[in-house]
Amino acid sequence: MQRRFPLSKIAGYLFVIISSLIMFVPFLTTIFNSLKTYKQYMQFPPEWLPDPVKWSNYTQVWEQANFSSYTMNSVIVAVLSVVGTLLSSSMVAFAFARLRFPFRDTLFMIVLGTMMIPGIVTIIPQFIIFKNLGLLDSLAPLWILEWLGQPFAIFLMRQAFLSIPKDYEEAAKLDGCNPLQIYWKVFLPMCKPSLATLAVFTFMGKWNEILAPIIYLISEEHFTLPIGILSLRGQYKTDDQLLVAGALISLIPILIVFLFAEKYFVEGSKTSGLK
Amino acid sequence: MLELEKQLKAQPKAKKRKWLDGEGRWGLLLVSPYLVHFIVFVVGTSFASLYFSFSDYDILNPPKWTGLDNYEKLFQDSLFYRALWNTVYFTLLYVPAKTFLALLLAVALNQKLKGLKLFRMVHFLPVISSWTVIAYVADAIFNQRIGFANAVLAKFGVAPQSWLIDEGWVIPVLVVVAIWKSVGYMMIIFLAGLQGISSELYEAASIDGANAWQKFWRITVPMISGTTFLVVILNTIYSFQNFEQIFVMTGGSTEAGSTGGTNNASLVLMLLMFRQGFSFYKMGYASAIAWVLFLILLVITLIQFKLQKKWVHYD
Amino acid sequence: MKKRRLLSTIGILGLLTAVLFTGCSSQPSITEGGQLELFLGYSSDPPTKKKMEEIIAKFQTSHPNIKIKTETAPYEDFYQKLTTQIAAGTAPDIWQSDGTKVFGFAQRGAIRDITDYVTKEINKDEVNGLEFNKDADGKYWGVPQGIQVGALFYNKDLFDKAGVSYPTADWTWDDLKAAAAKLTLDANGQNADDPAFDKNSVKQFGFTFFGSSRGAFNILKAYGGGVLDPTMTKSIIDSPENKKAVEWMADGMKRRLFPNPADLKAFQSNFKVFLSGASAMQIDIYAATTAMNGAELNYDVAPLPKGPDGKRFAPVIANSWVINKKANEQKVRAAQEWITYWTTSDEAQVEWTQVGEAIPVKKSVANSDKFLTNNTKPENKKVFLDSLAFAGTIDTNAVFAEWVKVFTDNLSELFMDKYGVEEYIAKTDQGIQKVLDDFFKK
Repeated sequence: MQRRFPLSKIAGYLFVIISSLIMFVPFLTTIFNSLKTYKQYMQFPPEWLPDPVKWSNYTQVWEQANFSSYTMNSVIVAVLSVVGTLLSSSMVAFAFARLRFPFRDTLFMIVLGTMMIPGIVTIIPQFIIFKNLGLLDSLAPLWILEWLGQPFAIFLMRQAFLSIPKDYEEAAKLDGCNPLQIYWKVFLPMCKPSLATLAVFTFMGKWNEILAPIIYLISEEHFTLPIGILSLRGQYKTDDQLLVAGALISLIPILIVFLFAEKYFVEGSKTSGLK
Repeated sequence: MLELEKQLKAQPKAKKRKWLDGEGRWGLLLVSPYLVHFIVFVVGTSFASLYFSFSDYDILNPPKWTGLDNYEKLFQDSLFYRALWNTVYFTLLYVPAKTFLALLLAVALNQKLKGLKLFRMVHFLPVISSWTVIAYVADAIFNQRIGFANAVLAKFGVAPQSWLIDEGWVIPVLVVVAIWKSVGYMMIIFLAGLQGISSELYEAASIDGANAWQKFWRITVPMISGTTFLVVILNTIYSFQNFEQIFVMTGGSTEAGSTGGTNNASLVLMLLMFRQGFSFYKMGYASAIAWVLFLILLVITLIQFKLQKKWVHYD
Repeated sequence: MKKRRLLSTIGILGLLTAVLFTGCSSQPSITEGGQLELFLGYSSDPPTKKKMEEIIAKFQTSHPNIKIKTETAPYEDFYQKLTTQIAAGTAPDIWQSDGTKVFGFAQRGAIRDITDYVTKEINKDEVNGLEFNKDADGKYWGVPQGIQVGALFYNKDLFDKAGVSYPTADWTWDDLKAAAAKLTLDANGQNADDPAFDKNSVKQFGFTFFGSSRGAFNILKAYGGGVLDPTMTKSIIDSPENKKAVEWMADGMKRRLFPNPADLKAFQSNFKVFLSGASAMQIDIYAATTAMNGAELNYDVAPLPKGPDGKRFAPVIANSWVINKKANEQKVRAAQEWITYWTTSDEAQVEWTQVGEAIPVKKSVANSDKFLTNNTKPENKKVFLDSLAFAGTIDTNAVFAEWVKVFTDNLSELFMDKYGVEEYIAKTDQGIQKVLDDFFKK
């Protein structure tokens, strides 16, 4: 179908290229900034290109931000969070989208409602709960909630499940599947694009998370990467060029996850198969 | 497909169900992780912060019940109204523009063409960049002395604007930057949603001689309305809770003296709340702001849920 | 039927929450080896963290009965973490508090009154800045960890280029303004005294000030005014001295000798004006030297100028060790041992001085070449020590952050020509008094 509209194809390409350029500029600037000296960073007006090019910023930040020792904790938190979110939130979302049970709509509004309470005012009560659960200074507060259904993820998956035609459900029911089986065998495989999206978002969110690690972790053995990068920020002087270099290194895993999930974003429609 | 919908609607409502039948039990079982989440983490924290909002709470000492004091003070605080309006204004500009652009981008990037994989990733770069980085680049455009925007204006003989300092410009400029940073996020949600649209629909439309624009409005837009609904609600919530951007781009700490912009032109509710809560130790007052913000968002969301029946199509 | 279920569900939920909130944990204070564990918090960046760890290790060698457990985070995050911990009762036994926050903790009952300890065990003749943590009732709340004093920083290159002689200790604020006019240059290189000077294209400013310790507060003080009375509960903004000082500032802004808030914004960061060499002078504190050395500026310092009546003032921030009010007696003893070690031992003081971020609290070290070294800029480090003679706090009290916000916000609007000096004085006086009354008249 696309081939019949070469004009729209060209226009589409053009649009994509221009918007990509707009999106790429900050990234390029960031790379250049990461290679500057502190002196050049403080220059005004700023120069775009680094001069001299200071590659050693990367080795320096690797050491100062403790990449080698903190990365493992970040991986643990991110992986546990992604797996937990994909499993729990999609299951909860399936119930909200496809099953009728008492207080369903009220409960769903509560799910949405929790997204609307600004986190700032619940930090302290939540901290006290984790204290009473004996989980302070451990990684648990950073991933445990992801195993209990996250509002955003539930909402996203519910919308995805809602858009699947009822026929599939009926067919599976006739085959004698119970709801759990329908969810697992029929609905999950059909929502791979949304699951991939969710995986990327959860990974990104957890990988970059700052507030929770800062508040919950005390011992260095538990520190995650953002703490390492953040710790470069001084009260009186901050080596911004190092901060930027550190941020760039820590982006790489997110990009890898993105590339890995990318093929599912455009997996193509399979929903038409049944009709 | 529409036929099916009609059929379903035509079916008589299921007979009165038992309070907890088989499906209900399954529902509760599958939703149980969230029930635990709710009981252990949501009930306690929400009640606590609600209690704070009726108390004099300086964080360092236990809260003292003061009834409606905080709310009374809040509704007499001119800064609160200023912040509320700024927040609403930001949202009104931000949500429609971002939603539309994200959809447009998703459609453009949904073509199965070579190289698009890379383009899609590029659109995700601002999303994963930190606000400090984005602010630095935004400055290159909107800096009043050296920015690109004023350089362009000068070419047309227009006087330079002081974008982030100007009371009239600051919110629109912040919105533009916010969209630029996060449009890729919503674009990906749309991209996933687009996979659910059957290609047969487009083929049928092509046979009927529809052009790309017509297909976009007649097929894509209605078929993706479930995702659009999600995106609109999420954008509204994010917009009301936008904090970091304003903090980073209009001032930072109190030492800078200008957080929230000149004459509080970019003071938003979240900024007011953070400042009151953690900088001024007035967590009771901050919690009152939080709950007013919550109520406003809840009402908006409930209205959106009511309205969705008018424009959102589920299969 | 349905209602009752709902009610009972809510009841159970409530109960569960109650259980979760009431659990209590008491931590043992003695470790297995019979050591006392002291929980110590401080804010840091990589160099300060490394140094602090070294000093702690040395302390533990000489105090084998105490084991120090630390927590640290970057400045702003540290305080958010600390506040949360205080609320939950898990805060450190002792922490390093920003000098501007000591009274905030004290007057809200989060830290311990250590008057007894300070009067008995700390020799005032040997330690800098003890009096800055004394409140109006004469109680001590902290012991300095490092001292910050404000001075006039100037860019030697810019002075040389303009042929203006360097600031001296005899300068008045009017002298400074006269020099600033010669050092303010437009795009064509003409200075502000030149009739052809173009106010709309200022490339280089004469003098930069902003915020509290780096800002207007110091000028008010030198002019004989100020913000709060000695009890720190009353605004004294509305005075003829303050009016004169504010007029002096507003005039400099109008003549474009000083960058206004919009100019500062255009430089991306307030600090960048001076750091990038676009300002000839700036008020700053000792800690600023780390950034200026990093930017390889050719600069030096002079004492802040005198007011019209010869009055001098230098702002001081005494970052201090404070003890958690909830710490038990054993821990308090250990914390005091740490403080005594910190303030009196040469090894701790010399090590910390090497970070170059604060003036040592031990006078003998501060007066030695360990601090006054010529290996790093600025050359005139003695200016900081001399300035201590006329230094005072920046009226830090329990609501410091809040009144400063009113003070600086209003000043921004004055400098942006939103209103005049009279209105500024009236508005600020009212605003600050309201902040004070909200807290002190409860």
